[in-house]
Amino acid sequence: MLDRLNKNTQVIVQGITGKEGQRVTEFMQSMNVKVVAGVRPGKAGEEVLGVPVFDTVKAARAEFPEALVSCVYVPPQFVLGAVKEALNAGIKLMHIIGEGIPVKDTAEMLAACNEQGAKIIGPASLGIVIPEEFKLGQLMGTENTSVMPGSVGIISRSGGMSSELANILTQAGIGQSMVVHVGGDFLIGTTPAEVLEFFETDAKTEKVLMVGEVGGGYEREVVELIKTGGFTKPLVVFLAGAFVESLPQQVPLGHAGAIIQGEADTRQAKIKSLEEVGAKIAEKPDEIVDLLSVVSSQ
Amino acid sequence: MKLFEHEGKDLFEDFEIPVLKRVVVDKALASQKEKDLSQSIPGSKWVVKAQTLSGKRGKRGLIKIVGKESLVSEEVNKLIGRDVDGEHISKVLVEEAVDITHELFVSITYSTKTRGPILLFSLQGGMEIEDMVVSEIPLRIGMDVPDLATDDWHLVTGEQNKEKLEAKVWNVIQKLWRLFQDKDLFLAEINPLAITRTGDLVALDAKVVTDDAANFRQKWEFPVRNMFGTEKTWAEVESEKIDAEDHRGAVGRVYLDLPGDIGVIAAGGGASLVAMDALVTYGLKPANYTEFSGNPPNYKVKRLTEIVLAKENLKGVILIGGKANFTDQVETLSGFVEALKEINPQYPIVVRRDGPRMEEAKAMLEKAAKENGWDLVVFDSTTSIIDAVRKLVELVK
Repeated sequence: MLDRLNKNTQVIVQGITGKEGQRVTEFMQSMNVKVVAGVRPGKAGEEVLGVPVFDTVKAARAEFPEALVSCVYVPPQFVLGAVKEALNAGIKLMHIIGEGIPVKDTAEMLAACNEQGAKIIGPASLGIVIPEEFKLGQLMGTENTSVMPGSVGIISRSGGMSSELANILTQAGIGQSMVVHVGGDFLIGTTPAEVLEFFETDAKTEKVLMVGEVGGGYEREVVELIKTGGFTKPLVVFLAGAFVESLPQQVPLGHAGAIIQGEADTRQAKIKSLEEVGAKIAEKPDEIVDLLSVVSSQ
Repeated sequence: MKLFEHEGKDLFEDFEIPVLKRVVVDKALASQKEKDLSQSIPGSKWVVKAQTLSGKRGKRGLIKIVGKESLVSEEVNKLIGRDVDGEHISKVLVEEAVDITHELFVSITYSTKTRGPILLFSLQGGMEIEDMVVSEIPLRIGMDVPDLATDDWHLVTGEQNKEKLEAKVWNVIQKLWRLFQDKDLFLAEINPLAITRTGDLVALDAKVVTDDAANFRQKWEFPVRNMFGTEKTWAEVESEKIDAEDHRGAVGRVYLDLPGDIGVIAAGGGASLVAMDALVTYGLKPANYTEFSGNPPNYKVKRLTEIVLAKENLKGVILIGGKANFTDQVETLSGFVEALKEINPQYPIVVRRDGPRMEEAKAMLEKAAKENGWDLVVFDSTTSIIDAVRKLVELVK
């Protein structure tokens, strides 16, 4: 689905009348994204920032049958219901910003998506940006000059770091093909390995910068993918988490995903296995620009 | 939230998972009447278990098996009130000891591999998980536990009883699965699930972690605890109150009191971890960890700053975060300035932040610093997080 995102992609915002829903609409419009419809039960016929509001996703899609992408901007307790509604209405890609969604609800959503051939970006994700072309969610806000078109794909577990690093690269004159914030929750709909698979086939992307965190098995999947030949482009990895490892016990910090779950998930173990498959590791964010300049496409 | 063994066992009991008769003791036993624990737990052998959130209690001498009534209270009193590896033992569980013939391992949690709930099961329980042969069985919410997929039951119980045992074990796991779903658990683990000499199953331990994100629909009545499982400190309690009545932004929801001398206010999850990593890497010791995010009003950031700076003997303070997507910097940082004006700190202060209206916010901070004579440096995102931390290292030394 990532390969189908471009300047013509039509987006529906679920929960468009709320404060967050309005804000995300504004952010996407700042990059001229086609936000064609909003959804809020009981508010059909109204308009938000020039976008028509419908009672249901189904009604919105009846009017805009080409819209297959939605932003889910409803409170955590309603996200599962909103996702089910979107799936039933034929939506194929959903972006979920909400933090604090029960992991059981996320598991249910992911199972349902799997059955219906749909994908989720998130939960707890700020979204996706293709510089000067497309934005799903609120990554970079309206500060669209922090990104510039180019050939580095960025995958991040952390929203703050996504903006931070894209900005650092832009200042260094290194453009980006796509920035994807996969989300910080323990369970996520689109994993770093899945984004890498997309970057492998994406002609614009020559190299990739991945930002990981301590905990969870997502970096292990990346190692497997590279080992089996599923990703062959140069990869620079930056892993946060030395502080968490200095604490006496399991402490979830920043994101639920940063829970160390056994030896294989520690920072050092991850660094080692990633280095073994040829990834370059930036120990500090300062080193990223240099490493990206050094690694070159085969 | 991680639960203590005795709390987990109460939950097990509610869901008809077999547990032993037990008593929880929360103070040293003085009078003869208090010491008479074995009266309420009949038998000839007892297990005395310190209630800690960290594992490997057996190896650390925190589980004692006692064969004489008079020794039960003695062992309880030896454990209670002790501090072990930073954890205070405030409760001890006394249980009847049973003869067991075999130990199984059962654990239900979420897997990043299947991206759903998963059952980990082994016929070789009671040991370190690394040493077991564990089968991983994906579960589906709303559906029964599938077949346990092992052909080795006869090794445990002999050919005759194997089907009976398999059914019994499945039954316990099904109950654990129901508990896991109904109570929004993140982890429900029984290690060991023991088979007694009489052929019954019993959960000898309970490891339970609840999913905090589901607290809006679960009413827990367990005593509050911080992330280390100990009683919350003043700062941890105070910071939690900040968001109670005003939902704008998330301020101080995470607060950890730490043994160092550098006050930390972080903004945003990912960048703040980078900052903490850098502090530790360059030899500074954080006095706390806390964070705010979203778009909070300034009085909330002010309150959080007051709480962080209330700690005595601080050597420096850092407010650090990445480039915010939408957090108004003048609004949030003016709260920081107001608190500084009240406290008037004499130690170095470093601010590194960016986002909407950062230029104005920087001017505001620098003006206040000049007027009040603070040793304060402000950076925006043109200075990296690492370099901002390095600056603090330089100023503190």
